[in-house]
Amino acid sequence: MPPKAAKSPSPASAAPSAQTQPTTLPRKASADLLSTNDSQGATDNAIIENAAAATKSRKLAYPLPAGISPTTINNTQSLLRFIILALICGAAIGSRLFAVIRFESVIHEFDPWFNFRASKVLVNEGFYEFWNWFDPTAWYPLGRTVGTTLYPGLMVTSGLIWHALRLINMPVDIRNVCVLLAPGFAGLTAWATYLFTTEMSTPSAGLLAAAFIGIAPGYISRSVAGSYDNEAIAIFLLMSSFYFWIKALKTGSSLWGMVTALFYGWMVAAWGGYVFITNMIPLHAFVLILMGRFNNRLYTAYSSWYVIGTIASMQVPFVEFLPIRTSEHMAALGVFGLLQLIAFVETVRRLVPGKQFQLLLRAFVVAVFIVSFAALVVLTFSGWIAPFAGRFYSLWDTGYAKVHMPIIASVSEHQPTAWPSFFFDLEMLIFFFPAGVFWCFKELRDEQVFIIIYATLSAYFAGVMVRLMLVITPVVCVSAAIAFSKLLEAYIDPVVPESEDEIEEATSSQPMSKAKAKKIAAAAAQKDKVEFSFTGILGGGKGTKGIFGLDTRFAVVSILSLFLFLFVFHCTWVTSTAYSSPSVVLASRNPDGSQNIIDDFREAYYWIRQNTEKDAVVMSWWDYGYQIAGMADRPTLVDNNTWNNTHIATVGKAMSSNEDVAYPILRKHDVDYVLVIFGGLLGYSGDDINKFLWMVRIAQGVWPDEVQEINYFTQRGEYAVDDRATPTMKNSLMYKMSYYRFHELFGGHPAQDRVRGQQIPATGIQLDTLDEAFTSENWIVRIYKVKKEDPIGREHKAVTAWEGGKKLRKSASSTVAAGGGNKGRPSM
Amino acid sequence: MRLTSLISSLSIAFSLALPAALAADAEHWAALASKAKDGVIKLDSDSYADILADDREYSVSVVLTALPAQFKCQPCHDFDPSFHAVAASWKRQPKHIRDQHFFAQLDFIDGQSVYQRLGLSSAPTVMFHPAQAGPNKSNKLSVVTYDMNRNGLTAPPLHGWLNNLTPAPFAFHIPIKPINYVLVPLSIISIIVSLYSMRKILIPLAQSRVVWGAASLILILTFTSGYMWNKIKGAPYVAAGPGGKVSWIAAGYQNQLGLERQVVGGIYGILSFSIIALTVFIPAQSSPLKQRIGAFLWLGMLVVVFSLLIKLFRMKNGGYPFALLF
Repeated sequence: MPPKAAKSPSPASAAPSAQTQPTTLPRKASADLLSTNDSQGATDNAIIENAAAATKSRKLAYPLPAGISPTTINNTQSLLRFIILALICGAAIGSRLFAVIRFESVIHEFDPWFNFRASKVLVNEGFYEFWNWFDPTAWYPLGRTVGTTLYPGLMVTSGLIWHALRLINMPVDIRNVCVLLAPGFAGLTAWATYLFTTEMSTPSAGLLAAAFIGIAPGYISRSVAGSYDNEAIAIFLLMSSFYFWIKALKTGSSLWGMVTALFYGWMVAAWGGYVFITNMIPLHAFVLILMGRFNNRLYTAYSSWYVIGTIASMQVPFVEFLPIRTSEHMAALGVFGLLQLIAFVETVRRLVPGKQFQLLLRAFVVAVFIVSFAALVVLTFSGWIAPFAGRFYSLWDTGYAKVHMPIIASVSEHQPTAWPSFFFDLEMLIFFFPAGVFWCFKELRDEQVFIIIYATLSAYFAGVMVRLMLVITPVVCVSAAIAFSKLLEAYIDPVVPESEDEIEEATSSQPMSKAKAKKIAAAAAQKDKVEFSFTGILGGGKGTKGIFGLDTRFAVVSILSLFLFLFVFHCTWVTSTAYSSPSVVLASRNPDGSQNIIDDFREAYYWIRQNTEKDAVVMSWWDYGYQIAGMADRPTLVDNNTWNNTHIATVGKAMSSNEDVAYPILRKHDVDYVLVIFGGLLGYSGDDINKFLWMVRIAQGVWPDEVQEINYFTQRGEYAVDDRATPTMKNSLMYKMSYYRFHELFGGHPAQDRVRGQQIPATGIQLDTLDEAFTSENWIVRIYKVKKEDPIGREHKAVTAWEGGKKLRKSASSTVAAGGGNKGRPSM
Repeated sequence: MRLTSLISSLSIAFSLALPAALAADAEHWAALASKAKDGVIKLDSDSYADILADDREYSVSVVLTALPAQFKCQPCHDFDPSFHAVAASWKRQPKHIRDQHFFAQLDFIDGQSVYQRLGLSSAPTVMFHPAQAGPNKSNKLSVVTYDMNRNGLTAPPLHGWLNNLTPAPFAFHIPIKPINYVLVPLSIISIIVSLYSMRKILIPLAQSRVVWGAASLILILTFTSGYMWNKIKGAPYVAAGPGGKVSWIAAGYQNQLGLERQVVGGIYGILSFSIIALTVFIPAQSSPLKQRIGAFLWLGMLVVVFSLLIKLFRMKNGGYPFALLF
């Protein structure tokens, strides 16, 4: 990594350059936002030279080593930056390894299991097999065309790494590549963030930002070792795309625009969140146009990014023609068109003078813009352009998902974010963040406008969905780093300003009466008023001078260091306690403090793998679909790729209905085993009874007249599993499977559900159509075998009664089966 | 012989009278419905049982509500126009369709026994009772309850729900209010005129950095302090704590109150401002003494308020091990 050679001739002058800059900016209030920064570079250099000259003559707060050549200083700076950055990457990787050290090198959670399975297909069977992969075992009996319904970027990336390692004779297991991919890319993210922040501010702010993003829990939460998900590489790609975009915008080079597009294409292949970039860059360009900052660099950068990026994104089978047919992508297209128009008008205007003609041209731009916008609207309503996808739409209309898409609303990471989550994930960065945005407003260069837009938008998104904390984290780190480094620079800068007395001495020597001075001041004030500005402190009117005393410097710097240490402790604590659990393997503490590993999931999945037919269909709630496919290698009805709402609702209906209704559903779908997660014995709160209401809701969405959420609540509106539970609840398949034989464990004592803190009635639950096949050590996973139809055509209820030696009462369901039912009746 | 003929004639009379009575029943409700303003039949405990007779060939939507002022049921009053609007839309159907489904309303004051029997403790509640006989008979649930919590009190979701249940689908009719056709264009025009007349102020305002900066910072502080959580989950401003005291901090990590959010947002604002003050205002101070006082003042503010924030976080998350001052 070659750190950019600092423009400053001495380390001390870097700070004054930032400090004195506002004073020299043209203070034209009315054209405040419109001032272009073409002259920025020139003024920068001038300031630096002035500052350097000033440094020599001014007092210093502490001695600086003299006689070191600028080259030596530059080289040392580069070396130090390189070492610091390498250490930051090391820290970023290291802090993500808790899970591997504590448990083992294992894939975490749910989605990563599918990604891992797909990577195995890619590595073992080759790229074309992977591309054309049809998975008949998922969504039984529908199957899933995997190749065209996934973002392949993650698998291809890890496949390439695997091949590269083999090429240098390092035969690494693909699982280890997958497990360690996220930490590796976290290191790269720190580097990309350094580059990005350096473009926004100074290299020292860049180093701070890299350190922040390296250990910020908001990013660690999705990128610990083993969390092999799209987000693992997506944040790196996000920051790189943004960095190259800024680079392209600053240089106006189509080469950088193309690099932006390539990274964007990689991002599109890797994560559905690419839509964020697709809208961020056009929005940035649009705001710059509105601010009157259109120039040829913007035109070149944007056009090359949009054209190549769109073509690149269309190579992904899952995306294909979406970039020209969905509303999410229309902003990018619209801004592209607007830029062409403006560029055309600018060219014409330069060639043809004449005021009226210019007015005409402006009207032309506005008219074309309105007409094409109207055309877009018409196309959308006529159905040629698809309206916003539900997930995207639910970000704006927050009540939408709750009513229309219970599947999306049911996922806990789609819930809104409460303030403790913000603090938990970002700690002190959360209040350095607005201060950094303030600095962006104060300087307001083209690239800083980007930070402002990014900050405001992502603050909203992160508030709406916990999951999008991931998107706000990079900008918080960058912005906080800018604020932090400005603060540090102000107090470390060794230059001591002249105090009031000295200034007075200097001014009093000039012959000027006080009255005259007042008059001049009043005139200046009057002039300010006439200009009618709203700039205030952002205008940079007050010249910043510097710090006098050593004690103030020492106090501020030491308090800030304390904050940094606290931040490191906080991040490590959060990572260690909250974000390093694989959730496939659980850990608890024994009374003596030693760790107890709870491995029920893998125990149960391996039981399925070894004890059932290869084609036995396992039904479970969709959360466990990928894990069953990945670890047990059996067909599943539904999985975490929630593309078919009806199929999921079918499973929900089977789980929430009584056996009479559920059994035909199970048989129709060839279900051999039903798997439920039950945490009542251990106190594992993420179990199926706690998710049960979502199953009911999703089923109700499709069969509103057969499944009713309200029937699962007691009269007083409580969700109870004890004596108060409603008959519908007690007869539901899920309830029966969860609590079947549960009370026997307690040997006559009342059976206690440790999750819900309720007592389960001791009356035995009778299952007619299912047999208990397996229950894991801590009862977390329970597997039931679905009975086949009775060989002599009896009702299952009758069979149970027959085996129990009870006399069958004539019930409604047995008479329905008329002839067949009679055959099986116990004849006494 | 005479006896048998008497019996047979009686039985004929009965067999004639029975369906006639049923038909009269439906017609009775149809007459009531067409007489009512929006087609909503007012019920009491007795007529509630009558309209829901086991052999009904029509379906019924009943709203159980509590409108009189002494019950202080604000949702009932909010929901009442929605229910009547949907009922009025149904009333626009042709008569042969209209009479297969009725809208009815039972107020708590008229039907306390019904409330007790159903074990209802909250109002309003909408229940759909499908036909139990005749061509529209449904084999599914005997009663379908409208999910008020999820769908809210407005009319369109209620219409969407009923549209799937009624014997025939029907369009939701919004009565035209002519006053809107005058007021809306007028207000739009007046806004445009006033904007144009104030353009001397508005244009610099729209180009001003301070306005945009202040707006962005306020938005950021609002969102990062959890405003959207409160809005989506409808959190109360304060809650009654233990001992009848008003508490402004919600128990639990994934929970918060309106005032709590404002306090947190304020804390973030103070902390950010201290940082800005330390970076911008203090170095601009030209008197060494003033600068020293200012620096320590703002630094103290930063440390104390940050400590308070950590303390507040520890109250939410009991296991948090770190503290600064308190």
